[in-house]
Formats: sequence, C-alpha cells, structure tokens
Amino acid sequence: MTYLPYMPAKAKKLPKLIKKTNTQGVVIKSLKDIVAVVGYAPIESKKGTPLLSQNRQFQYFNAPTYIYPMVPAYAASNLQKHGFKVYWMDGISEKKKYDAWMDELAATSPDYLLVETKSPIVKTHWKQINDIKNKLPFLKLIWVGDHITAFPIETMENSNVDYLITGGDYDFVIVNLLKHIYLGEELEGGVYWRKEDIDITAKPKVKTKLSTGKMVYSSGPSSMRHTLDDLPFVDRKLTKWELYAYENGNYKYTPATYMYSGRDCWWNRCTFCVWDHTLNPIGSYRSFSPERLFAEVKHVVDKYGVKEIFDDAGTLFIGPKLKKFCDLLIKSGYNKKVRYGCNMRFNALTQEYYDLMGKAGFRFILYGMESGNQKTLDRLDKGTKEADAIVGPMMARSAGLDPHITIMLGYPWESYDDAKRTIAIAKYAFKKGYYETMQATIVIPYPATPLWKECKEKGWLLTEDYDKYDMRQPVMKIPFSHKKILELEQDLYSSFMTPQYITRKIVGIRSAHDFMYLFYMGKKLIGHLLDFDPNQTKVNYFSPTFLKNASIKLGSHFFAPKTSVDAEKSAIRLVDSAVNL
Amino acid sequence: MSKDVQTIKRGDLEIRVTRPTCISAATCVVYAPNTFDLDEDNIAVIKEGEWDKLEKIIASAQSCPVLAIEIFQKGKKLYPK
Repeated sequence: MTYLPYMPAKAKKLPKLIKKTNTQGVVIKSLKDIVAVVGYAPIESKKGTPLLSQNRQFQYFNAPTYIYPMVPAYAASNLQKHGFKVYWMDGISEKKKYDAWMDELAATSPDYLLVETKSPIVKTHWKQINDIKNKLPFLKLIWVGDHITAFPIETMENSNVDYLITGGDYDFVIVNLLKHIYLGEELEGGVYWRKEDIDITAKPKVKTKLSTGKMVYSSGPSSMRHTLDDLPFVDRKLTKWELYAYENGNYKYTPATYMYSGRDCWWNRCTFCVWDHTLNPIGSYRSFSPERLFAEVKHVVDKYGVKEIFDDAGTLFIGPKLKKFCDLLIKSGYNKKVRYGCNMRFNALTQEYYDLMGKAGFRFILYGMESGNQKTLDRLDKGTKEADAIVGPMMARSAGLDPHITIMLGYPWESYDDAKRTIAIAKYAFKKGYYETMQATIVIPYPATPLWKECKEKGWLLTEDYDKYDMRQPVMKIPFSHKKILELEQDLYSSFMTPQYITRKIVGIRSAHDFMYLFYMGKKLIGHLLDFDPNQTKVNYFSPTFLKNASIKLGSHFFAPKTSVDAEKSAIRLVDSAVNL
Repeated sequence: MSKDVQTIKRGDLEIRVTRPTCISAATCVVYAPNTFDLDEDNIAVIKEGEWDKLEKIIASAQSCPVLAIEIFQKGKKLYPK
C-alpha cells in the first residue's frame, strides 16, 4: 500500500447537505464553505512560554520552546482532507497578542474553532471561551484534551463552550462531528453538546443536568477504535511547520519536525501519566504501521528538507515493527538523510535493537527515569528496575545514540535524601557518559491520574487550584520546604557539570555546528536554572542573585565529582536488566 | 481451550497467550525472541521452534503491560502470581 500526501480530490459528486447554511446563517453549497480553525489563543505570562502543545504534561519555559502539536495538526489536516476550509492559528508559537489573534480569528469568518486544553490552563480557557463567544457569537467552540476528557461536565458548567470531544482521537471525531451536522453522518462516541443545540440530531446516550438546570447531552464513551493509517499526512504547510522547526531542545539538527507514531504508550500504566488515564487509557494503544510511518518520514525529508525528526509517541513501538521501520530507513538510504528521535523505556530493548536503531539514523532517545529510588518506581507502576536506568542508556550509548533522561522530584513519600540519591545517580551516569542531556521537573499529580486520586485520599494535595499545576511549585505535601524543592531541581540540572562530562563534550566537538549546539544547550540549561530559581519571577537572566545561585550549584558539582552511588552503580552488569537475561 | 487463548505445552512447561488482551506492545518478542512473535494482526503468538530458557520466558511475561501471558510449570502457575 503506498501512502501519498493528501491531494485535493477532483470535482466529484458533492455529498448531499442536510444543513444548508453555515453557523452565521449564510447559504452554503458544499463543505468547503465551512471554515474550521485549529489552534491556541495566546496565553501571556511572566513565567515564560506556555508549553500547551507538549504531550502528556504542561510547563512554562523561560527559554522559548515551541513543540509541534501533533494531534491538533492531524485534526486540521484531516478536516482539510474531508473538504472543509481550514486555518491554523497557534497564537502561542506565533507570539501573538490576544487582541491581534482575536482580530485574525474574526477575519477568517470562522464557523468552528478547535482548541486543546490542559489542567493548568483550563481556567484561563474558560475565560477565553466566554470572551470569544461574546465577540464572535456565531463561532462554535470545540474544546478537546486530557482535562475535559476527565471532567467534561465541569467545563460545560464553567464556560459557554459549544462542544467537547473527549478521548485521544479527536482528529477523527472532529470530522465526524461536522459531517454529522452537515451530512447526517452517525455521531461517534465521546461528543458533548447542549440540549438547545439544534445542529446535533443524534439521540443522546447520556443526559446530565447542570447546576443552572440546563441539560448537557453526550454520545457516550469516547470513540477510540480508529485505524491510524487512515489519517492523511500532517499538512505541514497548512500547520506552519516552521514555527516548530528550530526552538526545541530535542533537536540537534534543524530544520526539524515531529512525528506521532503511536497513541500513546504501550506500557500505559504509569500512575502519574495523565494521557494514560484520560486520552489514551489502557487497552487503547495503537500505532502507525512501520510502512505508513516511513512514508511520512520520506515525505517531510523530500518536501521540506527536514534534517531531524522527534517522534513523540509515549513509547515508540518495539519488536517486529521497530525492526521493519529501521530496515525501511536503512534500505532506502534515508538513514543518511535524517536523524530520528523517540521516547523509549529503559528495559524495552536489547543491544541488537539499539545497534539497528543506530544504523537506521536514530539519535535522540528519551527515557522517563522519574526517580532513582525503586520504592518510587514501584509506586508509580513504572515496571522498571534501578539497574535498567544504567543498563538501557549504556546500551543505547554504545550504539551511538544520545540518551536524554527526564526526572521528577517532589514525591510525597520521598525524603530529601531520596531526592539527593536521584541526583547522585544522574550525576554518576552523566559522568560515565551514559546520559547526554536531561529534563528535570516537579512531579505534578495531574487531575484524573491514579497519583492524584491517591493524593486526595491521603490528604497530600496542597491545592486543587488547577492554575498551580504548572510545575512552578509543588502541589503535594512533601517532607521538606518549597524553597528546598526548587533548589533540588537546580541541583539536578547542574549535576552534569563534572570534569569528565565537560571534557568529553569539548573533545567531542567535530564541527562549528557541534560548537553552536553546545552553546545552544548551555543557553537552555541557564533557562532551566532560571525556571527553578527560588526567587521565580523576581529574577531574570542577569540578576546577580540568580547568577550567584547558579554558579554555586554548578561549581559544587564540578569540584566534587564523586557521588555516593559510584561504587553501587559501577557494580551493575548488563544481565541485571531483565531484558538481557 | 477457547480460540482466543493460544496454549502450547512442552514437557512440564505450558504457555498461554490471551489474544484479545494483547495490545501489540511486543515486549515479549524482545525479551524472548525464540518463544514469541507477532502475527499479521500484530497479536502475540507462541512460536513452534526451540523456546528460550525459562528465566527469559518469565521475564517476557512480566514485561507484558496487560498480563496477556501466563506461564505454568507442572500445572503450577509461575506467572502472573
């Protein structure tokens, strides 16, 4: 089966419209007279760039970072494939002011606006929804995302939104919703609407009364059985791919872009992961076929000259699919044209697979370490062992890959020393060359996750104000102070700074590009040290307090490279990871 | 045994795969490549040839995110407990 990018269909017999006017009452002849906008309204904050398009979590970055919103991009591309007129309006990455974005939105004379939300932004979105409805009353608003999937009625209660699509396949269901309205197609599950809405003719499966007495209807459980290979390629021109092609720490070679080969993660059990328990619950995992994924890789390399791709599926497929995908890259020669990055689990691959990935052009391999402590890995249902956090990256490194590790601090059951132990393990692994880069965050019990439910039961939540779930402060009770957790995050971000790591970096410079990349990563690091400075928005890059703070942290690691776990971790052997038995 | 559960016995060892539970994670294929593979629908199947050692087979059952693999020895269930 060959996969071709979406080509506008030649004039075919137009499907029969059952609704013959758009949302403004203007007569229409076909679906292409219906205007759909996909994107984000700007969110202005002193905390930095809001990473609303980041999969599975949310945070603000001081160092501007723009992540390609893959499922929204597939939604826009799928709407276009099915004949609708589509605009892409990402006010965040286009750095728009809210009023300017609103003017642009109005200028498209839109019928529908689709926006993805998340817990830390949902209250801001409720206000934006009501403001947009005031200014553009005919515009029908469709909200999607993890938070509304978990708590749909809450958003119907707190805003004038028109529709919600729950579940992770909203890029399919948005097309179904509009085709239901205009062509009478049977409505799939997971859609919420208001009783007064005469456009929806489906018989509701569930009826809910709001506190106002008004009724909200839904078409039942989210529809999650779509075949991903049926999606068109993302239309990168439509979705302004270059907005997301440069400023992202996951890239070493640019222009670069994203893929999203699987929904979402086949492990699907980590108790902190919000997508595992809302958009893509256990049992719903699906992926592209290797052939389909390779076809879209080829498409972006040939058409846009992309040099690196990051595949942000929760965990890349493994086994026969991964072998087939690597073979396709190698046999076609595209392993020489593009570098590929993905998320992986520490204990998912043997050396044989890593070597094949190295040959196939893989570079950046992102692991969720989460914590260095086995008690935490078990509580999170991570399904990994402490040894895996050394063995996996060790094997990846020997295949020429660049392991990137994500670590979280601030678990209610972890002591200050537990957190220090996680930092020591990261420092050891950087020193030995097993880790290349890292992302450190404060663990957030996103609403609807098992971790959040555990916190509620045990009284560990400091607040249920969604705004505070933005990783800039702990929202769970921890056995040490708020200031200390920020200091620990800065300490963790500084833990790479050993003579061994720095020497390896300098000796490894082979080109001006390598030097520039090192400089870029240094700038990113300073941004992260600022993200977690205890003085938060009272300091900036040039504040003496911040610079002194950061230098002390970096210096303390550089001049004392030995860690408390050196001996323990040096004793780990390949067979200590079950995948190597 | 229902058609949804593939069962193969060899000596005192018995392996069962509950096919409708499998989500094509393929960790079993990585952990025990001589024992498991994915069929054309990307569902786990037990292979015919010589299997991996028991330790690897149990590790592969443990790696399955949805516990679709059961291991018995002399009629006693080894995994999942």
